[in-house]
Amino acid sequence: MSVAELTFGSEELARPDEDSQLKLIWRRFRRHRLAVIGLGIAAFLILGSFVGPLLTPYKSTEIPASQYGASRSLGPLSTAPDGFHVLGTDRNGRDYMTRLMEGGRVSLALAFIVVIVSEIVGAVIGGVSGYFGGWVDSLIMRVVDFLLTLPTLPLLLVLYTLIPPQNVPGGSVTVLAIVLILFGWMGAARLVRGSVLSLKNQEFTEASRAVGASDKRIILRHMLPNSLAPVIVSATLGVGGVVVTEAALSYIGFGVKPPAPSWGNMLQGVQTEMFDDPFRVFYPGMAIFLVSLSFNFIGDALRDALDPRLKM
Amino acid sequence: MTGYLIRRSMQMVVVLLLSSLAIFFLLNFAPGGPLSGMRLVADPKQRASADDIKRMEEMLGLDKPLQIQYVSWLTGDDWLKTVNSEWEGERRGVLRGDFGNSWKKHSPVSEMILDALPNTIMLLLTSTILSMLVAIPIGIYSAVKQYSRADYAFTFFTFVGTAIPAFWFGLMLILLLGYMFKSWGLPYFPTGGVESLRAARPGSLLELLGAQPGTLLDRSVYLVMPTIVLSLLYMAGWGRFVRSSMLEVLRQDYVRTARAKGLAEQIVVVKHAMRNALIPLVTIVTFQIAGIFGGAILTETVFSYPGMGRLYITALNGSDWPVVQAYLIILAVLVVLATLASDILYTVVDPRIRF
Repeated sequence: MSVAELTFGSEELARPDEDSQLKLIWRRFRRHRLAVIGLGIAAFLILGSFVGPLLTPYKSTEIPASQYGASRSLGPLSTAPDGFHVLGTDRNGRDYMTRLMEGGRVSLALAFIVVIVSEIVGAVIGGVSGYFGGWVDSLIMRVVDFLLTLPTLPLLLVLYTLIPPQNVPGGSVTVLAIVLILFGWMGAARLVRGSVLSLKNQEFTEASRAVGASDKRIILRHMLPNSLAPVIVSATLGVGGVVVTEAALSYIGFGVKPPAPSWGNMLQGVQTEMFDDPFRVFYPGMAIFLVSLSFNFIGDALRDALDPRLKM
Repeated sequence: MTGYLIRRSMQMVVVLLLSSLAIFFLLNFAPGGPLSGMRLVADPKQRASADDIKRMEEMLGLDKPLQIQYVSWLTGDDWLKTVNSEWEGERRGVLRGDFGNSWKKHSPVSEMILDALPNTIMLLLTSTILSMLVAIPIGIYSAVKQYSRADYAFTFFTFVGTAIPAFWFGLMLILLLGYMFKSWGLPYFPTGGVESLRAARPGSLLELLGAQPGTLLDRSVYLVMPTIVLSLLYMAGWGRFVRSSMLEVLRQDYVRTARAKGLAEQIVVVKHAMRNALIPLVTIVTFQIAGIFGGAILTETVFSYPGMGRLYITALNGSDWPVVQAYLIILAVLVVLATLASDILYTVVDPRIRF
């Protein structure tokens, strides 16, 4: 340990302000250069997807009447990029940039919701499993192990077809989210169970039980904060995976249904027209790839930054 | 070990029976029954009336009690006359390799599977081999040269491999190797299918190689792009796995002993470390076979490759339940066998593990 680090340590002891922990994490996070770049890219894409659609004069799902008037035909209405349409229009005459941003909003919002809900569900199930132990634990873990051996893609597809979207509020997006959550919670359950098992036998848990704390208090105040770090990491890594899965499912027609755009369904049926304009294929896929790669790097850096064993 | 195998086989039978139950009853979970989709057709001329649906249900045997439908699906109904002559039929049942007739194609499902399965098995084999051929050298090299430039480059590659949407990568390959190559005058690849139907077009790679339609050479050219796309994810994952398992082995005492004896580093790496590091890979690869089989759905869709995945997607889109059920049964068998095989391999390669 160098002298500089030593003096820094004493400074920290001298004034233990609230966000010093966060500063520490940020300092360690910054060491992962690719993750910092990834953070920038992710921030740019998120901002573009959520703020961008507010700034554009075009609608993502409406076919503008003027397009028909201009072309006087019912053929494909795609146009090349010009001053009005930055990336041109798609075969239905809709502004491509608007659809790209709107599609990003759908894809990203879906990914965030799926990841957050599955991590919470997983954390609760894993927490219960680890804390109570016994037959509850072995039953839950059996189920988790079983689900983890299943190949997810074929099952996601068949479950998706079994839920008719017209009966569900939110339509195909909700169905897709439900199906993804059904197969998404096991990782978090395992992680939380593992850390709860190790925390259960530590002195501070015993101490709080000795002073008469309830199960609820112990779980919420002691177990949860202490097992949060791996869950945050797995959630971050999960975002990339969900964006890619959503795109894959939407691409083969088992995800977000058109006319609502998503990065996945914008690639649907693109094979027939992609030779005319290769960039039609490039942009949505590149966005998916960049989001997924960025979140993987961010998760990787967070793992290093949050790992308590490296804290010294 | 024998006792363990017997116990495991019995468990397997139970698991498969349970999954056959789940798979069979899946189609009845759809609200309104398996034919409900026909009532929702937008065009009133195409829409089936309640009478039509009733007639179709009778024809397909969907009017019988559910448990009887299940039994006749699983074991056939040619023997059911001993119980009730009304239930008699000509099906031989899944257990005897009869998956019934497709509702859309008017041909036995087993025939459709026999057409598609070899294509998928071929793709699985080439992808697994390619993944291992890339993952093993890369993983070992980056473990031996840990923290070198090559190691960092490889780590970056594994991130890319896991993050890239495989189907989009496939589309980009089609664009580059199929379309761009053609416009640049380079020998271009066929963009889909499994073999040529007519003589090769001038300027294509097939013509350059002089491949005749239907020959092995012809088919392997068609396999190139799907194989690359399907193996990308596993290359990255398995490479990462080999690297970490190699790093662990290199830290062992016996490796240090081998080095202390004065053995050349190459011999230490190849003879002492590599063998032990690669053993766990075998179990991982076996375990993931079912996953690759499922993942092939996307690859096959992108490249219009007539395999099991395409069959499954087409069946799901057309509510062709006998085909869907057959696919899922095959998948279940594959999962169970792969899990068993990887568990057995575990004990074979690591004698310290006993059951």
